[in-house]
Amino acid sequence: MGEAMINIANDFSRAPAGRYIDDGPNSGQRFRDQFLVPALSAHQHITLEMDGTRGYGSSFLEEAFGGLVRLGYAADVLLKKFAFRTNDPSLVSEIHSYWR
Amino acid sequence: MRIRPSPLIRLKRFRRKVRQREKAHRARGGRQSWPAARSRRPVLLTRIPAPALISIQHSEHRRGTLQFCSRLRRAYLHDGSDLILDFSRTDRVDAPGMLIVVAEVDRALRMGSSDQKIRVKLPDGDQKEAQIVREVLEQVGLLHRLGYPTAGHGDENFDETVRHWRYATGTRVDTKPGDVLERHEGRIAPALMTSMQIGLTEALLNSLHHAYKAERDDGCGPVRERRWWMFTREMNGRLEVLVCDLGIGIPRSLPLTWERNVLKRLQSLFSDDHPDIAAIKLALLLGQTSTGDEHRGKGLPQIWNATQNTENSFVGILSGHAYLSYDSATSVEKSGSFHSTLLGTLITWVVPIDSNGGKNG
Repeated sequence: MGEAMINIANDFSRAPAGRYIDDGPNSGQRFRDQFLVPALSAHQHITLEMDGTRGYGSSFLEEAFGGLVRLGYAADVLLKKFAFRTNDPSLVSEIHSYWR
Repeated sequence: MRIRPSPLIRLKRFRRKVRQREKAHRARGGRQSWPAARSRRPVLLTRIPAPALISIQHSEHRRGTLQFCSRLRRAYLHDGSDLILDFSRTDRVDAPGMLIVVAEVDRALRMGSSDQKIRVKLPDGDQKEAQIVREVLEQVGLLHRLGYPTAGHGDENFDETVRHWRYATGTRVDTKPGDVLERHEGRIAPALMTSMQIGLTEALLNSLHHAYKAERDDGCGPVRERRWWMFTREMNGRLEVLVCDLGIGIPRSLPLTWERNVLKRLQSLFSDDHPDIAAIKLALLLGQTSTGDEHRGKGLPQIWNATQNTENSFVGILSGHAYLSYDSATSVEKSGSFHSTLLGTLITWVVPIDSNGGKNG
């Protein structure tokens, strides 16, 4: 139950895009189900390295992170468990807005 | 001595054979109705003349271009006819018009029966205009798509206005649209590049999620496939990206996406505009991000905002009867409406390349 580190560009894709799995291979749904949910079950703290990709669309972010709330994770738990490393602070505000 | 079966037995055998063929046809995913005498299908051949100028942004030529597409759909998909697309009169094409024509032909080929054929009559003559139209039809892949052997002399020999065009199509947002932009990495201001990558993929997603929510009013029946088509061209220090869908258009998709009360309240803001212009403006307004950051947002607004923040950029949105555009070189927003309706949405985005042209770069 230690700390997990996910580098999205290296571990998932340089081109994260799309909401549902039908939208494409690097969708928010796939990232949530294959990376975020297993990490939440296994680790106390998760650090996400977000730089190095082609950028994040709102559809991807909403499904990946907003989708966690729809799966039943409490917003305050998510806020405690996740830390973000990025040069773009608007990404973090957007993700947090999905947890409010 | 061979005994010839009675007519009744022969009829029963014939019917059984037809039923077996029909069953096999259905198992292959074919249409429900099975023509008992396939070889007796009357061969229809329809010639569809293309207009002299293929364009959807100039009202005097838009009608002819959209009628060409409509006749193509009706003859090929509704009547089951083979086609001759006759470009012999065509002497000019613009990119948005050509993208719509290519998309319509591609869609018709995907929806039509495999035994139908589309042939092309190219413009003849030695005039430069005719030569350019022939090159365009080859460069954008239309001739290849219709099974014609391409000239094989490569696009380096094509006219300067033709050889930089690239074509792509897809049903998903994978790495393909982004790869198109990545070819220009290092020559587009980094912040603009990020905005373009996100704006383009979100605009394509908008198409996939909203444009195909209902049946297109073209009398061709429902289509399961959600597809986008794209042209790109780099020329004279500018990158042009055009994407389109052949869906229901923004004016029809908005009420299927947003609550009626929300739309009614906001529509009053644009009450002086044509309803389809108002719909595009509403789509821009409703897509603004909840975080309020200008460079985020969803698809269309993101493209719009990135254009406003980048010198010498242009964005144009054509959907339904209307268009809305913004040119950052002159800071002028333009809108207008046409009599004819575009069954789908087309976005044109032009940005500076090979310099730090972006204010945000």
